[in-house]
Formats: sequence, C-alpha cells, structure tokens
Amino acid sequence: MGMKKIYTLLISLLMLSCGDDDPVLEPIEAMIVTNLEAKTTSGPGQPAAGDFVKFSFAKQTVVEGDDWDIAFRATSILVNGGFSGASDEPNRSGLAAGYVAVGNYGSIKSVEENLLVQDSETAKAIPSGSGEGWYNYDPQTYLITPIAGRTLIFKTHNGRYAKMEIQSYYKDAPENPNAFSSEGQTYTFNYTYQPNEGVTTFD
Amino acid sequence: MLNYKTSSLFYPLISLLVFNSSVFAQESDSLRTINMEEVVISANKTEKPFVELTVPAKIISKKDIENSGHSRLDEIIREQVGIVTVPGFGGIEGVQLQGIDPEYTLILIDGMPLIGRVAGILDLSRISLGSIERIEIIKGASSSLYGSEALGGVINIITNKGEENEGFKSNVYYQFGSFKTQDFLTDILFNKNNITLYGNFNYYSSDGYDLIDNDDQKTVEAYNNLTLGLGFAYDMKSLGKIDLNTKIFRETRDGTIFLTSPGVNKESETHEENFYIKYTNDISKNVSLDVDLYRTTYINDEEQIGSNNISNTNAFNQTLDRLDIRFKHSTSSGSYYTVGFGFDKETLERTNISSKPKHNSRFLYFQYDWNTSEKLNLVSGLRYDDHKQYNSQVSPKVSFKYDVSDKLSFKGSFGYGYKTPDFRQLYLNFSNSSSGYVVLGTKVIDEVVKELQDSNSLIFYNDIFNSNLTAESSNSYNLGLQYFINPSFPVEINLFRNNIFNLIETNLVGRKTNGQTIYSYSNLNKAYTQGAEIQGSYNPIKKLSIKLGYQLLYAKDIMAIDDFKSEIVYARDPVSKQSFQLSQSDYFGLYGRSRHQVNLNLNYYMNKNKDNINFRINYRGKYALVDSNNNSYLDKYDKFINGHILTNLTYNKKISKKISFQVFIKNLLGYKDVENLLNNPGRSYSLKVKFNNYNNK
Repeated sequence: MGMKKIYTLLISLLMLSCGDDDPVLEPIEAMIVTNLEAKTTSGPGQPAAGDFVKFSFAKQTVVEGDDWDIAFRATSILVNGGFSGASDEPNRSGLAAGYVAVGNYGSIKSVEENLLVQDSETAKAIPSGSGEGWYNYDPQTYLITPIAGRTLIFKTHNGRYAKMEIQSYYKDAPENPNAFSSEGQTYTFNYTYQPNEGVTTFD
Repeated sequence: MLNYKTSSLFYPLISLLVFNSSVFAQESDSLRTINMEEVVISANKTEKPFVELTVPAKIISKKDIENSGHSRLDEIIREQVGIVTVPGFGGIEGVQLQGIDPEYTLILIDGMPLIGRVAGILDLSRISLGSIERIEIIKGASSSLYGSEALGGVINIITNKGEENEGFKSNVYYQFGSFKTQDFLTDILFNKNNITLYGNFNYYSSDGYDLIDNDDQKTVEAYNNLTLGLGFAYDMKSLGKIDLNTKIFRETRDGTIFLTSPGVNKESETHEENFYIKYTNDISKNVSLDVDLYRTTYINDEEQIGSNNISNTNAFNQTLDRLDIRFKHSTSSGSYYTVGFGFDKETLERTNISSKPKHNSRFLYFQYDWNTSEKLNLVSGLRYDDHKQYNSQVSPKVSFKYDVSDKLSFKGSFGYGYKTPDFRQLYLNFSNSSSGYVVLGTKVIDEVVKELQDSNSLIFYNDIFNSNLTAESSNSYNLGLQYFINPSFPVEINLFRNNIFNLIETNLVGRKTNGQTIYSYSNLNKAYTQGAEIQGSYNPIKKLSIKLGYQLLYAKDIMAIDDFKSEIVYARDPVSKQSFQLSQSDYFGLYGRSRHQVNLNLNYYMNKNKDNINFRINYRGKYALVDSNNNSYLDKYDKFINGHILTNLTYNKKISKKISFQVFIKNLLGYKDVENLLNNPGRSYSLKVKFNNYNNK
C-alpha cells in the first residue's frame, strides 16, 4: 500500500488573531492511498472469506486494533459503528457511520449529518451489491468499477469526518483494467480527513 | 410524437428519388422491383396483395434469395433495410425490428411460431433458405392477430409448396466455400390433380473459424445440421383441402458458439420437430374455414467441461401445441370479416427450473377489412388472450390506406403489442456454487425465501418488487406514404414510434448470510424507439435495378433519460480518474442500436438468360453492446463499435436450361473487427451448382 499526502490546509494560520480560549484548528488532510489490498481467501465467485483490512483516516494507514474507521474485504466496506454482524467481521466499538453521496469529490464541501447511518443487521452504511453502493459489476467483462460521481462520506470511530472517492479496484489503477489479467481487490482511493471534532466541512 | 426535425431531412432525399426515376419506362416483369401480384398473408392471416397492405411490410422473394447466394435465414435478414441482427447471450444473433429487441419479434414458419428461444433469442441460422418461397416481414405491433411476442412485428417464412398442377419438379444444389462450408439441398415436388407431395432435405456444415490466434479454441467451432421436410396435401374438392406437414431439424456443435469463457469446452445438440395439419374449406360462396393444428418441440442439450474437468450440463426441452380455427366471410364490396379462436399449450423442462411449468391460454380474435370506398381501406382488429398465469390481454389494432391518386397513397396504423413473461422469468431457480448470486423467478421466490428464512440463511429480503409479473407491452404507431413514380417503381416512407412499457428487468431483492445476492424479476422499465424508414427503387438503364433503403433510429430508456435529467449520471476519466457530470445530450440510447442504416442493392442483368451480377452494400452506423465505462448508462464516453460497410457480390450464370452456377463473395472488402464482430470472419468465397428438373413447365 502506498500513501501520499496531497495537501494540508493550515486553517490555524487564519486564526492567529483569535483569543486564547478559541480552539486552534488542526489542518485538513487530503491523501491518496494506492494499492490497498483487501483480498478474500475464497475462490472466484465464492462468497468472500477471510479477515477484513482495517483502515484509520487519522493514522493514514492500516491498523490492527479497535481504532479503525472503515474496513475492506473484496467489495465490502464496513464502518466501525453499529451492529457487528457475521462472526468474520471485526467488532464495531466506535462511533463510525457513513453514506454514499452523489456528486463530484471536489464539489462535496460538507457532511449531511442526517444521512449518516451505521452498519445494521440488514444493511451496511455503504451498501454492497452492484449499483447499490460504490461500484458497478459488469457480468460481461467481470469488471468491478467504482461508480463515477459517488463520494463516500464517513464519520470516524471517534466522531470526526472524512470524505472518500474510490478510483480503482485493480492494482496500479490501470487505464483499462482486465478482470483476468489485472490484480483485483486492490483499492486506490482519495480521501480528505477533517481532524477537528464537530467540524463537518472539508474546506 | 414524431420527430419533425428528422423528418424534414427526407424531403431532399424523396425528391431525388422521385425525379430521377420519372424518366423510366415500364420494365418487363423480371426487372420489376415490386411484383403487382405479390401477396402477403401475414398481415391479415389471409392473402392480400402487397401493394394494398395498410401496414408497413417487406417481402423477400425467392428470386431475391436465389440471387443473394446466402444459405441461412439470418444472413439474408441482415441485408434488409430497417433490420439488423444483434448478439445476445452466448453470441447468438437475433433480429432487431424498428429498434426493438429480438425477443419481441414473432417468428413464424407458414404461420406457425418457432420456439426454442435462448435468453429470448431465436437462432435464425437454424432455417435453411433452400426451400423457402418467400419471407414476409410485418413491422409494428401485431398482437391483434398473433398474440404474444408480436410486439415489434412478425416475420413469416413461407415454404415452397409448388403451384397447382405443375406436375413433377425437383431441384438439387450443392454449395461449398471458405471455412469448409457445405450446403446441400434436394427437394422434390409433385402436384397433379388433387394431390401434392413434397419433400426436402438439407445438409449444412462448417468448420467454423478463428479470429484470435494463440488461444486453444476457435471463435466459432465446427458445426453441422440437417433439415428434413415432408408434406402431403389432398384436395377433397367440396369437402375441403387437407395439408399435412412435418419438419425435423438436428444440429451438432463442437464447442461454444462464440468464445465466452476461456478453458470451457462445450458440446451442444439441438433437435427440433414441427408437425402441422392445415384444413381449409370454402363452405359457401362467401364463407371459408381454416383450421391449423400444430405441434412443435425444441430440445437442446449442452455439456460443458471446464478447465478443472468438472462437467456441467444444460438441458432445455420446450413444446408448444396450438389450435387456430378461423372463418372468413366476404361481403360484396370486397370487404371481409375474419373471426378466429383457439388455444395454446406450452410446457418446458429446463435445467434450473425444478417444476415442469405449463402455460395454457385461449384466444379469440376478430378482424374487419373494410373497403369503405374506392379510396379508403380500413382494417380494424381485436384479440383477446385469456392467460392462466398473467393478466389477460386485449390487443386492438387499426390501420388504413388512403389512395389520394393512382400514384400516391397514405398508410397509417396503431397497434398494441405484448409479450407474456417467459418461463425463465417465472420459474427460474438458478444458484450454483461457482456464481456469487441467485436468480429466482417470481413464481418460485416465495417458497425459496421461506426455506431460507426458516434456516436463518437470509440477511435481508425486500419484497416490494415481488409482485406478479405482467406482460411487457407497447403501443406502436406507423405513418407512411407510398408513391408510385410509375407502376413498378414505388418509393415508400414510414415514420414509426413504439412506446414500450412494463419491461421486465432483474433487480436485487435480498442477500443470503453467505454473501450471495438474490435477484428476481419485475416490470420496471419504459423505453421508446422512433425513427423513419425510406425505400426506393429505380432503373437508370433497362438492365440495372437499384434499390436503396435508409433507416434513422432513436431508441431510449425512459428511466435513463430521467436519471440524466436529475443530474446523477457521471463518468470517470480513465487516466486522471476524475469524475465529471454528464448532460442529457451525452446519453446515446439503448444498446445495440445504430442511428443510421443504409442498404443498397444493385442488380445487373447481363442477357436474356437473366445471368446477373448482384452487388449489395450494407452500412450500419456505430453502436455499442456494452457499457464500457461501467456507469450503467450508454453515453458518448463509452467505446462504440465503429460504423462499417459490408459488401456482398454474387454472380449467377445459367449454363443450360437445367444447370446453373453461382459465385458468391461475401464481405468483398473484407471488413473485420475481431474484437467486436465475432460473427464476421472476413471475406469468404463460395461456389454453387444447381440442377433444376421441371417436367411440366
């Protein structure tokens, strides 16, 4: 997995004139994560099996403990909040929630808190299934493609916010992936993390 | 309703055809592009002269077929204006009429339906052209006469039964060509006094071909088939005429029709049988009776051997019985009533369908062909189908032809068409270990879901879609004119619009605890197709005839249009990975539709023997079969199959009265697109030798 910081907005600089009691805001972080592997241990066409890969927006990496925000396995994405689900899913101990927003990544400026849902017994915050959540599956080419113009909005395990755009499900995000030759279950995504508690905007 | 912007495009074209042709004198019969005596039965279930039809129609005559060099029905159908073929599941190509998908066109042989649709598509290469008298194509919904499936139109294949008292007649031909293709036909006809006997036998084989080297299988594997037809007709004079006919077809294929998944070897056997009894009797001067009793069976067995040596078999066995009884009552003015009734009985045994579903229906129809005056002919009809499994259907149709003058007439029709849900949509229970999903028909879903709920293996189930399926249907409008430059040179223009609703789609209804998603069927979608068709023919010199046709087509999904309007459709730049929003003008329309299609047919007679050169140019505009950017919509950023021209050249030469031969170069310019056009192996050659034996002519 590769990671690159795109920019940090030093909002705190703008706050210099504020009084001592005002909180100093931490900078927003915009990252791109490449080739995050989230493989199923089962064969092609079989229901997915094996461990989920847990990710923390704040730590900008894969984590092992309970402080994860979202977790990946094949096409499934979990949030660390809500019903813990099947025994092979990690325990939900946090406040995380999410939803899928329609719109360009860049044009999504804030979180609509009323849309946030947690994983439940019957449905995930990020619905799985072709056309239901973040991807389309093409039965003719067998390709999984992130749906264009879909931005995933998350509340993290400790109540911060992030927005995320999945760009590719294949290793090295090829221009023309091939379901037979490209290595799948390998995510490339953008995200913007708002580290300040209670702030729902991404500017 | 109709697109005026597009129709205005045609005036220059019309005038071009009209004025260029006005100088020609009337030609001999052989050169006529429309034979005034040509009759069509499909539009009325009784003979009516082609030129008097009130609905858009097309005839492919025996002469057209012989001149073309083609062997199978799909090949000649593809050269007709307003018709293209599109591949469906497994690569089988079906007909698209007025932009409507193959599953919505009824295909008949001598008025009786062909069955054996695989994922809705009938493989027209099953039909040998060898013993066909003519092919009739009726465009626009025709359920008022034919019931289910006649939504886009009807294609009726009329087999050759000889003419009265022509004595003994026989034909033999043999054609061989590229890819070791062989086509052998022999037919015998005997017609004397009140007895007719006929028989035909066809054997066709091909080695297939390979478009992509360096893989271990061919694009089309070797196959062969044989067709045997036998008939007997006896005219009992005042007691009526009886006609018994049977046809048997067998086909063996070595492998997949088209390369689908690597490492899979497949063997396929198809067996089809048709049997019918026709009885006709002129009960009185004004009343005639027709009785059709028909049985057809289609059996297909497939065995797949995967790379892991696991074999997988697929069996399909469908039977249809039909009885159709009708009376025709003629009145003095040349008008007549037709009243018909009967029943259908259909059964299917198929892998992944556990029960053996039956479908029984009864029908009653009525049609009045009314010559209101010298100038105006009105045809109105109504059919009622009483279906046990779905909503019963009432299908009306009205049409007219108004003769403004000897040369100019207008035609118009409105018809309702429908297609009942098929057995797959009702009874399929598909779930196997190698797939991540389950598909359930609407009649089995309750039972299966209950079992899953009882064993706690269902995460969620959403039954809002679980309603009873109803027929997919359409309202079809056609408006046209026919202009005779002189009696044998018509120009025809037809504008059409089909509003299709209650289209059945699969949608997600639930998920199992093992992660498998459950899909079922529901009546969800709406679409329309609209466009214009123009055809003309003329003879610049006596020996040359030119036929030109053009179709303009817009075919769109109404839900997709709404999605574009509500600004939720995006595409992604494949390189930068940035998403951008699409506007309504970026929406192309339905898959497999070309906006433009042009067909040109040149026929040059070289001498009195009617030796001729027949050259055809068929252009098909760009279209797409897949949503290559996978955003669920066909938009201008998807990869399209390039527009292309396919040309065919045939040379027919008579050596003696009884022997003739033919050289046929198919796809003369050798256009190929190995990635997209798997049914096109490039240029191919064939040679045909034919012997006729006419004793009594």
